[in-house]
Amino acid sequence: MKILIAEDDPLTLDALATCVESEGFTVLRATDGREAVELWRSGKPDLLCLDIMMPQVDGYEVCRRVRASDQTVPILFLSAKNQEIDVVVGLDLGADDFIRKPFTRREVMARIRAALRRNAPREAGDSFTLHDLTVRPRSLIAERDGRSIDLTPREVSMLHLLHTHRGEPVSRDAFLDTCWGLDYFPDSRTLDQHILLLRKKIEKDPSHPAIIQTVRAIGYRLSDG
Amino acid sequence: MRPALVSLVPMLAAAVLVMVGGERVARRETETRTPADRSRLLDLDAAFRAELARLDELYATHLEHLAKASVSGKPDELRVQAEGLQGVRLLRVFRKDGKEIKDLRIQPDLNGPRLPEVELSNGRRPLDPNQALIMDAVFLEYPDYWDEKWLPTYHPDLMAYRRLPEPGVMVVILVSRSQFHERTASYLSHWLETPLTPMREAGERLLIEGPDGSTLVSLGPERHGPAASIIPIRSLFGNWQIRSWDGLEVARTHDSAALILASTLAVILLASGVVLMLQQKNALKLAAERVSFVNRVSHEFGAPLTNLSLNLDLAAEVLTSRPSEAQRRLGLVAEEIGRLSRLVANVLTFSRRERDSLELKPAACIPDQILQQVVESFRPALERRGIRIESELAAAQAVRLDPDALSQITGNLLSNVEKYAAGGNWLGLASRIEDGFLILEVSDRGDGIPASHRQRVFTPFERVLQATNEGASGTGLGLSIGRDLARRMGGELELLDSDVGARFQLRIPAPPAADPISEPEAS
Repeated sequence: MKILIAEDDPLTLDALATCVESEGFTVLRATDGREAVELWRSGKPDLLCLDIMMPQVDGYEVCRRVRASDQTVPILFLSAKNQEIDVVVGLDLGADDFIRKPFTRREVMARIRAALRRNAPREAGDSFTLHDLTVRPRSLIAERDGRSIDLTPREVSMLHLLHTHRGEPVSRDAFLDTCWGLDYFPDSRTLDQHILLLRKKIEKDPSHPAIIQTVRAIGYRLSDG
Repeated sequence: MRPALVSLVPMLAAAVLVMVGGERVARRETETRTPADRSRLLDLDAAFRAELARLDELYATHLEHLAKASVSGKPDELRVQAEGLQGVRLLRVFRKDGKEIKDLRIQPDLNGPRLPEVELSNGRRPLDPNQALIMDAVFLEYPDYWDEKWLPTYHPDLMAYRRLPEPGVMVVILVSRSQFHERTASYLSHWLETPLTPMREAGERLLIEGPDGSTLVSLGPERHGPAASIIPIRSLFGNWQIRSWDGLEVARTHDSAALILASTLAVILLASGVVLMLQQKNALKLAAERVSFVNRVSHEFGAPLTNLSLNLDLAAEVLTSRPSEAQRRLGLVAEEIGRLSRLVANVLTFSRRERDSLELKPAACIPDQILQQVVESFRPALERRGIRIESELAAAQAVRLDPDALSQITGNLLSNVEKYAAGGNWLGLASRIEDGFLILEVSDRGDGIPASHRQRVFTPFERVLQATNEGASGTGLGLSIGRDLARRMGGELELLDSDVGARFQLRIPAPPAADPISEPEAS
């Protein structure tokens, strides 16, 4: 999934893009409004995060231009402009959410996932089942007993990999190649940390995992359960 | 109503009231009475009296002709004749032999009072004693018994005319005063035009009232008080009155002392209103600026706090797996802390300046060391924006000045280049000591500052770039604080002319230091 981030503060752009990428999204970076509009046209992102105060073309104008031809792509404003009128203008222009600076990594990621989820089409064909868990990739959620669990694109990708190799062990390299990509070099510890977090989300008892089992010296596999 | 006018309008109203009241108090009026021309009045009286007598006589003649005609005239012809005579309401003919009694009622007014019965004393009965007009039958026997033509009717509007046109025949005609008067008033108001001309031209005040109290003629302006002379004139159908007033001229002067007092009071009230309005306007402006300032400050805190939060989170994530990346992130955190510190320093300086508690702390220092430190703290941010730094520092001797103030002013100037002049990709910094002054010049090759903003940029809260699509933010305090600190140190911060971009020059006293140099603190 591609997310366009338009932010004129280079530090914020870099940090936010890194946070978003770490969850498995592809990021299109724009440092001003004009670049944002060009990237939106050429890159067709699944979601846009727009700063309001930007050189050349401000975030409001970018939102207006996008909404003129696309009514559905989620648009989130990220701004230190924190007066009620700024929020109202942003939402009236068709934005889906307004995130006030300062924000934390968890908050911004939760809002991005929520916006994507709201926008995701309900297509049963995409979903797959792991034990008592139904994973809906487009909505970035897993469901159990009517309760939904938020997932990142990377976590969905990891579960999908386990699902397609049902009953077989999946090597660490396969995980890293498939879920992180060849241009990224996470170490083994990164994979373990992600598996740990994923188990906390989907296992009923994370200390005794029933879905994702460890295969010593190789990697992980989906239990037969 | 605009809030600032709330205090002015009542004061303005009070000033107007004081002025109007003062004028009334100061007013002095002197009346000069000029007696009306009595001879003209007497001439009018004589002419009017004669005309009324003529009209009475003329009417009596017409009635007499009608009475004569009623003896032998046919009822229809008689009715036409009676109707042609204004005021006739009833005509009744009695004969001694009791035959051919005529009874004509002219223009019966259905809504008016009922006409009284007119009957001979030996005539038909019963009659309403309150309404009936009973003629003594003896008149038919002895016509010369009583020669009076007009008889009272005990009716407020009616008069009875009695005539014996031939022996044995008596005619009684009831005449309405009001109808007669209506006709004569219309005639007399035209007739009076000529006799009144001299009085009208003299501007005299005169009134002629009819028997019913209505005004027939009114000359001259309305005058209060009783008339100087009243002339009653009696006529057949009532009393007329000519009222005349003497001429009156009112000379108006003012007591200058009272007028000056009232004017002064009004001016004081008005001035107080204006002062109050200006104070209120300033207070409102100040309040709006403070709200705006708070909003801007909170806005300015937003970005660095976000960067702190995100970079600390990212650094923690890769602390052990990728220490170099963690180190880079922590470096950015330190940079953002510096940005926040400068922001806090500006807000505190502004706040202290507002409370008048800003104090300078001169100390021995080497200006170039301070400048270098500021430049280094900005270097990563400037380089990220593609700004090349060119320094010509030549103020390496120990001098005495406030190092924190110098650091703050320099930081604000460099911050402006980072925010507003990154497009120029160049920052020039030059220092020197000249005649006991430290001269620092900070130049850029950005878009420069429009001529219309050259002075305003030093005003608190003023920013050249305001719109959201200008991209740059800021509190609008940097240059204002810079100039204020420079002036407090006995120097000046100015915007110099330059062909490209903006060029600021700081000039502050920098006497040689006698005391030992303390280590500059990290900014």
